[in-house]
Amino acid sequence: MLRAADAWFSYDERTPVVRGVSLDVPADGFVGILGPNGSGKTTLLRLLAGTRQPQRGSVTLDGTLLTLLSRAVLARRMAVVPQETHLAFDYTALEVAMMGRYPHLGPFEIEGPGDVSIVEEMLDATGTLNLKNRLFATLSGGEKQRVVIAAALAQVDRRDVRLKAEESTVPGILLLDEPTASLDLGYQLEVAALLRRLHDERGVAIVVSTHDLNLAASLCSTLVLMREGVVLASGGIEDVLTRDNVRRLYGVDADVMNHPSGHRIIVPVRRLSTGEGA
Amino acid sequence: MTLGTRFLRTVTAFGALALAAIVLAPLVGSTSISLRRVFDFSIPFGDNADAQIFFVARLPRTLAGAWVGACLAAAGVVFQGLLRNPLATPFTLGVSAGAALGAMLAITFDWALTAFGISAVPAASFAGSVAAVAIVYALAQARHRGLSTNVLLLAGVTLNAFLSAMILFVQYFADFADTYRTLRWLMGDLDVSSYEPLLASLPLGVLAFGAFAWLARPLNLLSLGPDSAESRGLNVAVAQRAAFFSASLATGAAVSVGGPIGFVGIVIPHLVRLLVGPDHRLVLPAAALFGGAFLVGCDLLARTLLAPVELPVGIITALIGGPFFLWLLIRNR
Repeated sequence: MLRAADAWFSYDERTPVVRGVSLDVPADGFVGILGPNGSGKTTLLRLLAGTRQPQRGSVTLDGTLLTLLSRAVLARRMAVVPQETHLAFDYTALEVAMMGRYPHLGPFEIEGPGDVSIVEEMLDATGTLNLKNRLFATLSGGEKQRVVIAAALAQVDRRDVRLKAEESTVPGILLLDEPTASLDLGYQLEVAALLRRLHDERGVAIVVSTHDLNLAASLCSTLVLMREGVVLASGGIEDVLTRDNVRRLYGVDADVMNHPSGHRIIVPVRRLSTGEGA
Repeated sequence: MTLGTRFLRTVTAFGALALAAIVLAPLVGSTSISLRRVFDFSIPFGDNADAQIFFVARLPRTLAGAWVGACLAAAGVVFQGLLRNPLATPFTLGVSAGAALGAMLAITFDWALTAFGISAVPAASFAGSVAAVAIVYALAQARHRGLSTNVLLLAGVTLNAFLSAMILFVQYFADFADTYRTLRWLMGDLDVSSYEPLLASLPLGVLAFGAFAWLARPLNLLSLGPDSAESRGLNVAVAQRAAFFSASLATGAAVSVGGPIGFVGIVIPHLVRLLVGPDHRLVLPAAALFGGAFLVGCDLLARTLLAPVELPVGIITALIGGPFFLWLLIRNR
């Protein structure tokens, strides 16, 4: 269980961008963090990943403060998938995915056959094994995103023998920052289907930030609505994705319906003028 | 093919190239010598002209070339990885301009003192590069994490411009002979006739290469960007600082021996990446070995092209490196 309790963070120590957020990610959770641009979603993901530390409050993994865990131990449990990945040099897809094994190796150690087979398995699971020798920079947006997800999966795979005894072997946690924001519709659905499959078949816990209400409604089991660094509402889809909450979150009047597929769908109708919302 | 195999093959191939350059270069020159006579130890050294030319005149120069080339090429790789910018060079952040100012102060004001057996010009040039590195580092300290690469670049470029102005200022007061010596130093020259400058810079360079060995994998991760690298388990702040200081150290050591010899630090890393790919665990050793071989080869051309006139090697590297750099820019368009 990954838990944030009353977490506060500011980049300049004056204006907090995350203000007292509490949030639970169960070991089999699929949590969506929803909110408009600049609502603090990305910063919250950084706090959850431990790459930034809250100035007040705490983030814990199975009851232990993230700050007490080493970078490598943390990286073997949780991996981050950024919105976009740009490389400075021409690595192949395989080389990029192989970088996920970094926290499993000693300072001068090189990847062994075990690491290669884990990475190839993850490329296969994300449907990118046939791209492994292609240059990462030449891949499409959706392909890049799937290769980075494969790297993340390889990072949290703890089947290897070098694992310290005290580390738990539960499936890892993926934290994805707007994974579909720069993709067109086809790739959006492709990545969404992949995340669903990874969660259901491999038991990976997933936290995904997005401003796409319908994507979140079709994927996640729990939602957290954020606005200006504060949690507006959190809980199951039915309870959280209401017309009233959408209005408060985005200042948009929307129709909320249930689709025959069983998913809730939101159809934006019009933007409310200032003072009309909230 | 596993990485281990590729590493061995890369080091063997480039190592053989470097070794061949180091053994063959001292045999070539305006006076021809015989390798058999050089290593004929039955002749007393004082009477063996071939051995004297080999061991006293040419070998120090060749070894200095190999050492300077290795330092500059490896430092170029590390700076490019740190700045995530394939067009960075060892001199981008002002290390060489600081060294140049130090060297020229020593030349102009005739600092004759030697400390720990190190003569004034290399010592002053190294002190100058340390000062430049300290200034750039202080400017680039970001508030929350590691070094801001944008601020590093900006600080380096600004410092380069300012130090160049200082160099012109000092040069205005220098007499004719000093100006000539300074100019020669700025061209980059391996005209050394003893092992002393090489030995003096060796400990610093060895320290830097120790750091490079550890940095190879972190540099791979840094090319993902600092946030992604951090979430993969890398301590980005430590890796960036180690890269900045070790690459600066290697550059300062190289410049103290040969002056600011241009283009080695950019041409070699790019050529090596074309040959072995971008993985720093292969690029770093290959660039060091290839850089050494390349500079020894360039120095051989400098010594023989217009013999008996000996050109500064910096002119040769610039004549080869300039067009190559342009070709790179066009190719990457």
